[in-house]
Amino acid sequence: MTNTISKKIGALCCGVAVALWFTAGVLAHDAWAEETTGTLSIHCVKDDRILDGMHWRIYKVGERDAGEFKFTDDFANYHVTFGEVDENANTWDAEVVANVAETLRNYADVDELPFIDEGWTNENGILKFTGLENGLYLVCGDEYEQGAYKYDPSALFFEMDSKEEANLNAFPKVETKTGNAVSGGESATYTVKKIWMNDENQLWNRAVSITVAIYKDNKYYEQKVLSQENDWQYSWVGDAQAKWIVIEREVPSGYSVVVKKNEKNYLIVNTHDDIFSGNNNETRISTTTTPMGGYEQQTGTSEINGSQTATATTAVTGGHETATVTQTTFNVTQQFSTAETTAVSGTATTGSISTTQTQAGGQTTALRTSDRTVETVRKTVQTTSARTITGGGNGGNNGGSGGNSGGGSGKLPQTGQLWFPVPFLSVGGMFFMGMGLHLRKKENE
Amino acid sequence: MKNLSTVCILTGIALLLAALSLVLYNVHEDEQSGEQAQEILSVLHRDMDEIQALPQPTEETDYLKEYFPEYVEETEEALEEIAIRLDGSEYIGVIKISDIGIELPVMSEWSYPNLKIAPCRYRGSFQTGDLIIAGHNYRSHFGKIGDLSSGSEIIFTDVTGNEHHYYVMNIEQIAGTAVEKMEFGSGEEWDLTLFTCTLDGRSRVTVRALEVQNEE
Repeated sequence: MTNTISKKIGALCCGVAVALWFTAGVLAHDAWAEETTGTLSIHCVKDDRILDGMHWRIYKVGERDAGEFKFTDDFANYHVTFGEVDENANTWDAEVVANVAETLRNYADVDELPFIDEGWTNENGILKFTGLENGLYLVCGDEYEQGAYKYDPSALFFEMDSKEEANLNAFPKVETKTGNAVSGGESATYTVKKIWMNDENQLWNRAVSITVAIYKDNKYYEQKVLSQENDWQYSWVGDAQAKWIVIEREVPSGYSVVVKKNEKNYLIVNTHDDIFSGNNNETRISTTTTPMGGYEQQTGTSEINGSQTATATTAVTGGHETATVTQTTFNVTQQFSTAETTAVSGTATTGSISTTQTQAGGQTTALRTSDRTVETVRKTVQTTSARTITGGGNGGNNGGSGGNSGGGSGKLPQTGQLWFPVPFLSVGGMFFMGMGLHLRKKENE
Repeated sequence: MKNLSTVCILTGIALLLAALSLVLYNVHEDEQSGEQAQEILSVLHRDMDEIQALPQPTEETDYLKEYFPEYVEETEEALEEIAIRLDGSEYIGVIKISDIGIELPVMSEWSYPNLKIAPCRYRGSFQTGDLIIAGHNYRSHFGKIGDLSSGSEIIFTDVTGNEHHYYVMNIEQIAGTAVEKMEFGSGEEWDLTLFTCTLDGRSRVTVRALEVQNEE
């Protein structure tokens, strides 16, 4: 009797112990999952040029809070926004995302904001940032020179949002200028223009003037007031080799700011947005989905190995007779192996993913298919003026003109099959056959 | 004497077999390349359809043209084209010539391995009116372009689905070393050039065509 009761109590204790162990295990797993971090690998390789020693900084700029992105800390004060984005990540305009990244990068550079980590690409052109917690990140690379080339990497913008360890690969867009392009001492005329957007029906919200600050190589240069009087525009002449940054100080209340730029023009866009109509200093974007990443985005793919790099090339001639500029922009992808947790979207997803975004010249498209990936590449087509320099040993770096990877430069490609020996072989064969038969006939006679 | 006749007969047989082998090899290579190109073409068509379904970029240009024309001009200086990457190769579109019954993908850059798969861009771009496409002289590729005549229509469809219609202006033979002659006259005398080798391999059958703006 006592034995039976003891056995029952023992069995009950065992059952409870198993239940407790199982519960503890589940809780521990959840806790572990919450604490996992991700890794971002930046690949800086262009064809056979490995961009080793390139310096990169990474900033944590925001977080997702119940489906909404929120810029945090210093970045919350800049009134930069993605604008209205819908839930379908495929429809996000990556040009907007890229402009946001570049704008925030400019603020971070000139205000010398603290970064959470920094590093240099290794001999393979790769740099890894590890231990990244969930959040929105901005990754900025510094200009640097290698041989005759000067490289200017664009800022990357991505979200790490994973319950499991995420491994992201980024291939940032890098612009290249040849060393002899604009030799020291040459100057160029730069223009900044400010425009208002999305406030046509409430012009009273516009500020009477705004102040733009201009920085040369990250150092303060001058500031100017733009207003109706100067047509919201200002031009200056400066060193063509310098890196110029234009930012708007004190963005008007109720507006967000994005600074776009090309070679010599800067466009400050102040967009009115109801999000900013209150006294809210925080930038909020209503979305329940994920950002499609930074300036050079991303290919989430279920493949394979190796990097996929898109190439975009521009070649333009400079105004000086000996001055030529070859500008090369490249890349476009973030890529994830099947075994890895993807994170373009920040969502921890394992298995097959097919998401492609392609970018060049500021335009990005996104395409997601259920069973495969369409990878597209944008190239800048060489203009007529640029065509004049392609023959000068530019080595096939002729953008839209296509490559020239085979054959000598003085001969057109050989596009023929080996047909010409056929008649010779046939005639020769018949000749020898005939001669042989003739000889044999003579022998028989 | 007897040995000599035997040697001659055997030599003749060997030469004829060599000729036959070469013919068979060329035919096989032709068919194989044609099939490969058609496989790529079907995938490319599917990808192109999906690209057309992508959201279009925001229309900000018109607004900017009014307020900041310098910005727009400088930005527009750099034309862009899109290519699709398949199996590591980039394709810029599809060329269709109904008169000789071919429809083939066009690769972005030429190389000898690429030319075995599909016609390749040799130079230029359809956007700048100086596109030159090199194709192998397989009958399934550009082997029959010499049969085209003035007025034959060539349709080049870029990967975004835009059709560019060209009409053949003339056909000529250019020496294999006449690189400058091949490129001369782009944008003025012709907008598209196709070329392939003659059978002897020394010259290039060259088709010049002018673009006709789509009425749409």
